[in-house]
Formats: sequence, C-alpha cells, structure tokens
Amino acid sequence: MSDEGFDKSEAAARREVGQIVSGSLAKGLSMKLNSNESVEDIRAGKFVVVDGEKHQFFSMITDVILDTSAQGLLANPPSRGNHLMRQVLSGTTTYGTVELRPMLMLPKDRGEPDSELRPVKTIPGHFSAVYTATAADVCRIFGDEALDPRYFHVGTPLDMDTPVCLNLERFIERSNGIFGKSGTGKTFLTRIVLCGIIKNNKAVNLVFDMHSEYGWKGTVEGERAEVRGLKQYFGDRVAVFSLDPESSRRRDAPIDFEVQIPYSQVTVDDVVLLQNELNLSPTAVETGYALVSRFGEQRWLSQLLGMDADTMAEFCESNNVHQAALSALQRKLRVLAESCRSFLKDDAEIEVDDAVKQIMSYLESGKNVVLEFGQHKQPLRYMLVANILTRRIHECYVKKTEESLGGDKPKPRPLVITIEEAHKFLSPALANQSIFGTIAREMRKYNVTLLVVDQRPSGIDSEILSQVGTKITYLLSDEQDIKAVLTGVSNASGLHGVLASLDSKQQALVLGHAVPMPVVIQTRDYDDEDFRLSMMRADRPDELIERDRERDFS
Amino acid sequence: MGEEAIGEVIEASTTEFAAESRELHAPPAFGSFVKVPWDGEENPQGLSAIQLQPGSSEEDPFDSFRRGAGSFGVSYQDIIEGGEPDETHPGLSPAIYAVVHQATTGPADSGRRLRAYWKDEKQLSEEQPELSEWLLVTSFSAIVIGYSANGRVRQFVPPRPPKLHLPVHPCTPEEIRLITRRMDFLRTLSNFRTASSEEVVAACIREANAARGGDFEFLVAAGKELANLFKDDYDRLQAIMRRVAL
Repeated sequence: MSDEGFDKSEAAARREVGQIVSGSLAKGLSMKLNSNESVEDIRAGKFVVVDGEKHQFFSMITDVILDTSAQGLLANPPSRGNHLMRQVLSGTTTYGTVELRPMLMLPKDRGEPDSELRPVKTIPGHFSAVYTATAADVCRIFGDEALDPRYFHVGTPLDMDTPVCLNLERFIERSNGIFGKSGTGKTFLTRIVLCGIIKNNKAVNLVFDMHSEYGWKGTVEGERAEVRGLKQYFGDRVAVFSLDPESSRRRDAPIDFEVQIPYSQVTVDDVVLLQNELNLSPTAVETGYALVSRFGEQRWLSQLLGMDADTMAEFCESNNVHQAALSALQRKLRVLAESCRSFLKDDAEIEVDDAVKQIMSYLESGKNVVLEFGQHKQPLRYMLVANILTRRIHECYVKKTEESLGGDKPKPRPLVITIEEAHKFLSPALANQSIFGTIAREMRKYNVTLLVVDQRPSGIDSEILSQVGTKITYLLSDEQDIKAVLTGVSNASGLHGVLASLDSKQQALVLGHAVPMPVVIQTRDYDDEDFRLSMMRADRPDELIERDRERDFS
Repeated sequence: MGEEAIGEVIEASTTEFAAESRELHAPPAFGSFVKVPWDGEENPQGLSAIQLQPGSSEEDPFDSFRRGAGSFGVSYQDIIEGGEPDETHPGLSPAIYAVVHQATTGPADSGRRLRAYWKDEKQLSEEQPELSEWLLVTSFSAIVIGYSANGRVRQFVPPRPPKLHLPVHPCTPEEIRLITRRMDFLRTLSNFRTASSEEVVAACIREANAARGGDFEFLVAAGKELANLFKDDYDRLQAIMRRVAL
C-alpha cells in the first residue's frame, strides 16, 4: 500500500499485484496474490518490480500456484452457483501464490555513488509490495533506442508496449543463438537482429542463407506472400552472393556475385566435417592426409578424383594406404563433386574471381554479404560451402588481428557469421573439427562471432552452447532442447517453466550477455510500417555513418 | 434519541448487558443493533489522555500510521485491512453499541413457576391481563461491539459498561452502516461464548446488509473477514455463509 520510494507519476502507473510472503536467494521469492487480482492475469514470464526497503528488485514470474489455507475446503468445494462463497474464499482461504525470480536490484537512494542495476545479492523483506512494471522500468533496464544507438528494439514485454532493446555492442561481442521450433519465427527475428546490426553499423554480416530468405526477399506464412530482404532495406550496404544464379533469376532476385569454389580450396578437414553426410569411415581421414602429403593442399582433391585403377594401386603401394579405403574415398568424393558440380569446379574451369577474395573485400569495405544457396540447400552442400568460406575468412581475420596487435593497422571490423541448421556443424562429434566450433569458442578475440540459428539446440556441443553469449529462444517442446538452451544459465530451473509456456509464435525468451536480465518478449513485427520507418532513419548522411565507423571500429 | 426506548438496562458488564423489553414478547430482533447512551468520556489515562494533550486535541494518535494509505474510493477490503482513516461524524451522539444475542420471556419473579392455562391467546389476555402487565416480562441481552465518542466510532469495548436503567434504542440504518464499516465486530461476536454464535454472526450480517439495502460487496467483505477468522474451520465459515446468503 505504500508508495514510498517511487516518484508520484511512477506510483500512479504502477499496480500492486501482491506481497512477498517467503523466499530465498537461491530458490526465488513467493508472492501472495492480492485478492482483487485474477490468477489468470498473471503469466509466466511477466516482468514485475518488488519494492523492498532499500532496493527495487526487478523480477520475472516463473510459476503460478493455486493455494489454500484450509485443506478441508478442497474436499468440499463450494457449489458452482454459490458466487458469494466463491468470492469470499477467493483471496482469503484460497489464493494464488506466484513464484518470482529476482534478477536485478536497483538501490532506491539514487544519490549513492554506485546506484546502478546490479545482479541480486539479497532479497526483499517480508510483505514487500510487488508491482507491475512500468514503461520507465523497462527503459531503465533494457535501454532506450531513441537515446542511445547501442540499443535496438526487438520486441515488447508481455502485456506491455514498451520496447525491449538488445545492447548491440554487447551482442556482437559474443556468439549468439536464436533457437526455437520450426515456424516459431526464428528467421524473422534473425532478420530483425541483422537489420539492427546493419542499421546501427555495429558489425558486418556474413549470412549463409540456406533457404534464400535474407537477401532480396523472404517468404512468409499468411496473407502476404513475401517480405523485404536485407538488400531492399539497405541497398548498397548489402551484397547478395549466390551459389545458384539460375534460382535467383527465377525468383527475380538480383544478385551481385556468383560463387564458384575451386577444388584447390577444399581441405581434408572440410571433407571430414561431412563424414556423417557422406558416410565416411574413420580411415578416410588418414587416406586424405596421405593424399595431401603426396600432392599438396591444393591438388589432392583433383588428383584423387582423376585417379584410375592403375595410379591408385601405385599410390597405395608407395604411400602405404589401403586400396579399398582409397577407392571408397574416391567414390564418395566423386558423388560429392558430382552433386556440387555447378559451383564446385576444377581450378581450370572456374570462370569467376575467387569468391573468398570477393567476400573479404566486401566485408572489409563494410558491406554485408548474404550468400544464397538457391537449390543447393541440402545440408551436405550447405555445410561444405559454409565451412570452406568460413575457414578462409577466419584465416584472414586471424592474420589481420595479429597485424593490428603488432603494428599500427586497425583491428578488423567485427564480423557476425549467421549459420542455419547449426547443430549439423556444431554437433559434439564435429565441433572440434569444424571451423565454426573454433569460432564459437575463441573467435571473439579475433572479432568474429557466430549467430547460430537452430531448431535443435540439443544437437549442439554443450561446451559451445555454454559459451553462447545471448540466447533468444522461441518455444521449444523437447525436454532435451530446453535443457540444452539453459546450459550455462544460472537459476535455470525457474526459466524452464517459462520457456515451456511460450506461445507458439513470436514469443521469445531473451537471456544472456546483451540483456541485463532474462525477459520474455513479444517479438516485433518484421517489415511492417513501423519497422520500415525505423529502418528509414538508418539512411543518415554518409559523413555521419563514417564518423560512427571511426568511433566504433578504430 | 427522541423516540421511545425499546428497553431499559437492568444488568451490565463490560462485554454485554441485559435489558428489559418495553413490550412483552417484543424484544428487538435477534442479531439487531441496539445502543445505550453514555457520558462519552473515554479513559483519562488512556486514549483520550493522548488526545487531550495541548495542541494535539484534533489529532488521532493512529493517524500517522493510517496515513500511509492512499484512500480514494475506499473499498471494504481497504477498510478491513485498516487502510481507511477514521472519519468523524459530529452529529453522532455518544453511545455504546451492541448486538442482541438472546431474548427470554418469563415470570417477573424468578421464584414463581408458571403454569399452563390451556386458553387461546385472545382469551388469555382478556381474562388474565395481569400476565402481560406485571407478572410476565421479556428481557434480552446484547453483546457490546463498540461505542462512539467525540463523533468517532470505535470497534472495541468501551472503557466502562453502560449504566443501569438507561434506555435502550434500536440503531438507525445510518448508525448501523457506520458501525459496520469495519469488520472488527465480527471477531467480537464470533469469540463470544454463546451457544449460537454462528447464528448471531449470520443474523447481524443480515441486519447490516439490510441497512445497506442489500449490498453484495458488503457480504463479500464480511465473508472475507470471517474466512480469515475461521482459517482452520471451513465448516463454520460455510455454516455462517449459508445463513447469510438466504
């Protein structure tokens, strides 16, 4: 009942929903719901403020429980028509208990030198009032897009209209994940986040666009058949590369560059990554390295594919390789070469410039690259191409970062690589071999981070998952997936229920490095009028953009 | 209290008093609210002493703790929880309020035992007028639930019991509304050791509800107070609420 501690205007906007009756720092707080509040208005994931004596505690609702003080009542409930008795009992003998998870605390005495948001180290006293959060609370915690370009609006809390913002600078510092079942809105949110990064010039993006959803236009369920892609929003600042120019032409989507990959770019590691898809035996790796040591990194694949029975026998003899293993490897790689024929070519047949050099030069000049796969969306091809390109870009970045450490050269521009179906690259068996595993673990030192989009997080190596900075999770129903997403998250038990109770569309739990506390959001609409307007403001004069770049990247 | 009294106090204690009814067989209704005038002096060493201190005569000692609550549009819930500041009602004359919990009719002389006459009522009153005039008497007792002093209603026992031979009047609906704004009287009633405390509580809630012209909100608020009182006794709560809802 007390409104001490809040400003008058703030107090007016708040509504008391209950009082703290018990709790612990380890397990969270219990609130008795006020008798005039309906249990049904209290949703898991809702954001509330506990008004303690010295601090305000920003908390999330994790569970709602029906409770009674008289057990006898449950055996003999009032009849359905007895409205008086029902009203009498509600809030007195029968009441709602709500479990809260305090996340952050803010000293009420703003005069204190360290009066800023801090993780909770204590809990509020008995009978502290619990209020619904106000717009001011949300802004205080999640920042305001209008005041600070670091922040980018991604959605709103449940039952509120105030934007929840990601801190983009923190977002790109770590690898991040967007998870959720198919059809929950992962791709839309990924587009929104990419737009935010591009608009605010926080990093350059390389998107491995498996389903051709990001470049020129994307598809959408429902009435509208399509939405704008990044290219339509940012024009020159986005370049669309394609593995399948035919498909792009059919879709009437302009492309900037056609990607072809020469055999010389394929390493044994790239092939090892495909061992599940190609059904390779363990000896294939050894055989592959024997080929490399004989023919060199550049020529091993073309040599292998060109071998006939005689040269094979000769090679086996001189290099102590099992012939059956060699011919099996050849057979399987021939299948690979054949299925990727349109973009994976012998060096002599390559018609266009080296794709990696092109991509690097675009990235260096601050342009974002979307690589469309067109018809080549099978995991095998997607993985091969993504791995080959990323490995070389990784090499470039390592080199550039080392140069910047040694001399006057600037650090390379932060790069965010977006991959879909990430569990195929980052499965426990492959995480150590694929370049993406390395990036997820350590590449933030070299200014490269991943944006992992996946529907099966339990397939991702747990070490890598625990290193993911910010996780944005739509509905997941599989128990293992939920557990996987909450790996490395403190107080995971409370969030478990929240995660399992999300709506099946457009509702996500955001937690980790880029937000001060976990929060459930209704993600904003992509490509509606508001979104277009907010992206228009990105069209600032070039000098301004240049100035920001200077500030952000030098 | 210009109207004719319905009774006269013949026995008084701190928590209840007995009165003789003016009319034979016509005591005030069971569970109804009655009042007895009193001098209005609160305990000089207690509450009023604080109030009578120079310079603070207008202040309620509890005001500061009550003031914590914003009280626009006071609901019964607020009143139950003590969030509503005391109102003063300058027109309220000092009185002790009580709820009738028992009425008896019998011989005026307790040593005399009545015998049956085997006659109908009309015949009896014609042939034996002395019965109603002085041989028989109706008396009732009432549980003290509060008092008023200095224009304020207090829901606790007055410092002194009512004096003997004072008139007993029924409370007006306005008074009933005032004294039942807070639900503390329900605790007093339900704690009173009487064979039918559930009946008293239910009857008194019905009276208070009638004084409001039937107010569902009031019934709910009273029920909630009872639910808090009978936390461990759901059957009792149910028994009372069934009697209230009729």
